[in-house]
Amino acid sequence: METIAIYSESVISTYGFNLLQRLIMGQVEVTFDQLSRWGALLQDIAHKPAFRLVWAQSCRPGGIKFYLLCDDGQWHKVKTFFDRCTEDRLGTWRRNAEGVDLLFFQGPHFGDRYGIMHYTHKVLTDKRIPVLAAVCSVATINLMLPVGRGETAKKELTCAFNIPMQKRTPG
Amino acid sequence: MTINGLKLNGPFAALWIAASEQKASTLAALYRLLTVNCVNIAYMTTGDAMADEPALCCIDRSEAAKVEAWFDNDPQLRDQIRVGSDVGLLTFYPHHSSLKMLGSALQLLGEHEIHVHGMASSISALSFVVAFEQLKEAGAVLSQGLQLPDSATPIRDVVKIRQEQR
Repeated sequence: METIAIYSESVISTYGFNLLQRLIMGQVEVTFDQLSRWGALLQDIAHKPAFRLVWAQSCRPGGIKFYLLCDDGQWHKVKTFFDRCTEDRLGTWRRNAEGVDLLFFQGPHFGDRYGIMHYTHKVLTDKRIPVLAAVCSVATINLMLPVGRGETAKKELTCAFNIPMQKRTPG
Repeated sequence: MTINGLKLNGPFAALWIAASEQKASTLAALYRLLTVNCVNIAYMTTGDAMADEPALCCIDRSEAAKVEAWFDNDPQLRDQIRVGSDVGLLTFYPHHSSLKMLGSALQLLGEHEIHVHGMASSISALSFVVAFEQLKEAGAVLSQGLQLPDSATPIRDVVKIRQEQR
């Protein structure tokens, strides 16, 4: 069965931009055969930290690197875990010294983001705002930006996208 | 540890963007090409500023042949992007921002030797990129290990979105 939907957007629409500033980013690389031990250790953290974003990616044959973003107040709990990893020889962790701003937005539609990354990237490039990393998962697009650049990026993207039912002014 | 739902998607073609100093410009060229040709991005993780690491972009498998053909016409994309073996996306929700839940999923997948190519959270869901031939097994492992409610079954997404510009 085929359903055809036709929509017209002179300006790409999204549901608004969310900004989290000065997050801590930690990263650790483990090998695939360490994955289950690493997962088990992760469940053992005494004081359960909450993450803002996690992602991982194969980085070389046999290895996968995990990235974790959390609030400053959660970092000491995460660090406890990373230190345990080091003790157990489960990868070497490091912390991004400067931290990051995380800008994220939803949609549009069911994870259908045709053209959205290109549009977003172009807006930021034109304004010389560097993207440290991007993560597109389900219907969310996450942009990691240098600390202090998130506010400007939010303002520029808010102006560039159409945000239905909301004022276009950021805030 | 319970979840409310689990979804299986795929197959997807995995586009691996090489770790190099050119990665940021390769990504920009890839975004442009996918946009001009109306190809959707199902999943992506990039470290634009991390030149020593690759980036991963997943597109629908049915689009892969024509995308590869376009790469052949562009020296940078041809040299910097490799189309890997098929992958599937395994997504469960909610994650409650819980590292314990993430750890549990990774332990289960690792114990069953499911090859995890990547993983990312969204606002409420966690998605794992796994070898497509292991997707069904991975779904069974997580639906049992993370206690999917009896009334729910893993959803196999069969909806295909095709977009055209007029």
